[in-house]
Amino acid sequence: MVMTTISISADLLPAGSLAKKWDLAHDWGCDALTLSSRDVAEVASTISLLREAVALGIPVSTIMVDVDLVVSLVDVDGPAQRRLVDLVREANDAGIAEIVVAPNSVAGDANRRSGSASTSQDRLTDALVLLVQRTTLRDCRLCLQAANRYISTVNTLADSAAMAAAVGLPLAVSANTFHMNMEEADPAKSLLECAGLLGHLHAVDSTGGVPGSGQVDWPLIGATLHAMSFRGSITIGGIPDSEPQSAIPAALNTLRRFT
Amino acid sequence: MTFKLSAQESMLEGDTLVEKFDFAKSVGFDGIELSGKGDGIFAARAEEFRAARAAGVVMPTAVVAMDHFIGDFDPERRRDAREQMKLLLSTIVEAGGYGVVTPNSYGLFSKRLPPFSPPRSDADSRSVLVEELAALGAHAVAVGARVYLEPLNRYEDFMVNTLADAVSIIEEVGSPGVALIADTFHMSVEESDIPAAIRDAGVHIEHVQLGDSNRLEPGAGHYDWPGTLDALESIGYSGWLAMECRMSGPAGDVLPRVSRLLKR
Repeated sequence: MVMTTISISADLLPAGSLAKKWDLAHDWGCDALTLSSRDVAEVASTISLLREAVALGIPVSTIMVDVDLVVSLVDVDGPAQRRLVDLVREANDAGIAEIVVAPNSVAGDANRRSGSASTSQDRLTDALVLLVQRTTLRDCRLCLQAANRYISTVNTLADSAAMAAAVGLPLAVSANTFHMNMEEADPAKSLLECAGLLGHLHAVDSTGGVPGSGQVDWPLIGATLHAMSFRGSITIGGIPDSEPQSAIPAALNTLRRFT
Repeated sequence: MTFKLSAQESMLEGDTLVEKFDFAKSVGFDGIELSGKGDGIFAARAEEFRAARAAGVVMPTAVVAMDHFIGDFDPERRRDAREQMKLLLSTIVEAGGYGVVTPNSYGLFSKRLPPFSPPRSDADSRSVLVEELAALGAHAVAVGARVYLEPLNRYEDFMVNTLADAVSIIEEVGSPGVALIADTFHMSVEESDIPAAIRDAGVHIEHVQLGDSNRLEPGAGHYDWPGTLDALESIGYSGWLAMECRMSGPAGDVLPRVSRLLKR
């Protein structure tokens, strides 16, 4: 059995200090936390949380940043964009395993994103190159997450892999199981086909809830990750449909059984 | 149980409804789901439908094909959608059919997308939809048809996403002219347990539309078709299964595969 790091989005944990959140997550059996910046306003607070985590020895496996934040690097060299570069640099220096560039599935904007110039694949490619050039990543992997047709133009794992190839830089793929449910004809086959590039799995069930609350075939996902000797990390995501105290441990059990 | 299959008229080869129906039969399908265009276009086809019906073409249902719907925020667009729906209901009967599919809205607003809060309260939106469906239900009963309310996924509609959402509305309307249509693609996004959702909705389901998990034809994704067919059998479903999806190839190749997959 290949053991993977399972983290949980700090956003899903009950309100409180980062230390209290980690105590809870650790008690439930999580290996690390994932921190997210969904918009410009959150970048500074994510940097603060990352520094706090480093100071307290709280393991953080993954930083997630919204794709539009990254794309904005192409046009704007303002303070917010420079803070995004700072965040990625600090994550790199802190030994974070993955920086995941993902559309914010909760706060997406289909009308703005779908087919719009601001998120064309060319512009996203330019932005990723710019981010890598400015941050000089070492062991930290930059992962691009595919998302469903309503919120992204990068819909399948194959789309992400093609973009990774186009960038010509060490870009990996993040697979989000909620989006895969809608976009991948055969989720297991799609995972296997990008095995060498898969750096991160965002575990969200078919209805957008935490793992185990929908119809994602977790035994199949787990068996596939095992077959491909996946050594990246997994982030538990989604919106709990019950109290976190019961929903998150149950989600963790769902993943532990199969990964 | 063998389910009856229909395909949208745009999917079928042929220039006329008779030719399209002949093609449908040749690929294992049993009927045509008509495109319910607004602005009187559908109603203007009544003579075409009567002639096709006389020639044996089976056209049980139509789907509203407009850019505004009965749940619109704008009262005038809502009024027009209602009047157009009445025309569709009257006209589908001319085709020998009995059902017209409509969502609350499509592409009008999504709570998952900025600005997240619709310009009308949920309570008011529900009241509006109940009122509109009551009016359409009365018209449907008068002409011998049914309005089928379709739940759409969270990105396409702001209020009616699950079968349970729709059943709640339909029960409040309480009209024999209003029933539920279950779309497999939308269920794949919104239902945590699709067979359970079908069984819970039970007799309210009078129509089913088909799309795999990736909105291609059944069999092109990872949707659990046996689970859905078993659930439909368990509730005694005797309606149609109507294609509402894109196809991964030519209809002559795709539709026979769908027929083999879904006809038991």
